[in-house]
Amino acid sequence: MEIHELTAKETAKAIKDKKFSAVEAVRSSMARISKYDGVVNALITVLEEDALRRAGEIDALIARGEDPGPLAGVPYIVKDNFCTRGVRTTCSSHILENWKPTYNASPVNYMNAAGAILMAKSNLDEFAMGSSTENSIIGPTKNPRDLGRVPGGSSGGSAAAVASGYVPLALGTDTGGSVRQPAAFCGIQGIKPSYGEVSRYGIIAYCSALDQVSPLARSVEDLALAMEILARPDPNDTTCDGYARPKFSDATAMKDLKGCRIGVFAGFEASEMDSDLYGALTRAGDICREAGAVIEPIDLPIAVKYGVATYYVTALADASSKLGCYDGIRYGTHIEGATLADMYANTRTSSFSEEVRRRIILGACLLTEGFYQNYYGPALKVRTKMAEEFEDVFSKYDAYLLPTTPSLPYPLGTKETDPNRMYLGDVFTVPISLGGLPGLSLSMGFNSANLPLSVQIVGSRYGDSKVLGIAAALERLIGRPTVCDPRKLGEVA
Amino acid sequence: MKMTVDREVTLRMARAAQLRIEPDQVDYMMNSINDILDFCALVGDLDCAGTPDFSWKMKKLPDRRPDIAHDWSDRDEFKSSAPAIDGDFFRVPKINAEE
Repeated sequence: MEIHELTAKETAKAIKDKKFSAVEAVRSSMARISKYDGVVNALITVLEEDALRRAGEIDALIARGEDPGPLAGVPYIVKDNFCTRGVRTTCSSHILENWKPTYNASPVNYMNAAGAILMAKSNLDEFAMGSSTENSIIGPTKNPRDLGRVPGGSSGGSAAAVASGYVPLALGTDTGGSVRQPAAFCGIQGIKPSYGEVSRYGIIAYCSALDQVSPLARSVEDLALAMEILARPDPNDTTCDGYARPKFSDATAMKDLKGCRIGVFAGFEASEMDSDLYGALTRAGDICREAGAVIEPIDLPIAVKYGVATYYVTALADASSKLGCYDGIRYGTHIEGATLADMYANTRTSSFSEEVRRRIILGACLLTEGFYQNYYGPALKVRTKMAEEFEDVFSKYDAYLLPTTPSLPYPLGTKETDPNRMYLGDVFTVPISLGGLPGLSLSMGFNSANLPLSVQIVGSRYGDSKVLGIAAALERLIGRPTVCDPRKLGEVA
Repeated sequence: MKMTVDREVTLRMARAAQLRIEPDQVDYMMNSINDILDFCALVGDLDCAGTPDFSWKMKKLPDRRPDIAHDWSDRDEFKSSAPAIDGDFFRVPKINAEE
């Protein structure tokens, strides 16, 4: 097996065992990036020099007999909405296109302290608002499984990078599905942890009420390892829970699913979604049953009917408030104006894309008298009802399965003119975000056209270990995703 | 209750958000906002009488940082990311052009 095909855990072990060096791991990563990123366009900034220097330090530690950490020498990538000290952090937006933060996001510090090496910063939909990674200052990222299709979003750059074998592990952020959906579209694994598991300090906010730092990898074991490194209390983020986390890696040793009660979501018509994805859900249920689990159909009527509307009211109101900080004065792009108001309007109107401006204006509207009482206030109560519905499910089941997405990756440039239809692509992911639940998108192989299939495993709040355990047991039976050489389907790779 | 915005409200909300809408884009923005408002009005359909507002519950409140003054020795670094600095201050345009 070549270096770029290894998982993060295998890479760290091989480096510690001196089968190859961290410098070689970085060179392997750079070789993949140089070969494919001209076409895939997953990366905004590549940090070859810094990565090689850090790799040399890791190798020196190993040579002295010291342990650089559980991710010793493992190249990784973060979405370009993680603050990185002295390294451009754009959020794919003109408003931050030349901004260099003065500090690292906590998750970046944790990964570096574990011995991982930051290789690059990946593309996203501007300010993480989107589901296709097309709305970016560097243009669209392409799906490496089929270069004619979108990789999903908004963490599409991170997902495409892992699927293409640039790195075994990447970080994204998931607000309403922004890691789970691209993981599904690119045929890899991705988990959105429970709200409160991972610090968001230094993550550029879209919606603080829902944003979660989320890892993507080609194995569930790597997701668990990343969780072990990332999930910890952080005094810099008051939404990050102070409890002592379990050892997530222990959960992935689960050999079978005996004694597990798993619900399979049945609250929709098969005709409402892609038939292959419906088949993948059914197959995942069958595999769980064969592995010893008790499988029963479940329904989530409130979550499915009200989830998307509640999500958009919550997220847009929050986004409008969060993006108010981009004023062109303290950092970021600045466009002159005769007055202060002109300067604000010139800077913000020219530097945010139309989609971001629409969301900000709508969010501002939702927070005004009248709209607040008819939209934002009711949405807060619907969330409570939804949380009660989830609590009821988890009083009977350990986890449940539902699709990650209702559709397969769609062609690049698909213009959905009806925003309501566009947002409905998130129907299976946003309720999980609203409930603060852990959701893991697991690769289920490919359909007859070689497009990736997936299923989502959802657990109770702080039930991340159980979700990882079930996913690991399923992965052992299904097979873990492999690296692909990016190609357009129909062409020989 | 379903609500809509008209041209005037659309422009007022844009001003509140420090954004400008070009005259030929106002109707487009208004219509797309109304499409989303129309869809999101669904949140008012569920009977939530007596239901409290949602709030996150934590297992354990995080430890607080010590309440002490920081040495902001990286002040120059912060200033270096500002588009325009005047001594120790961020430079801003006049509030009114006539001033």
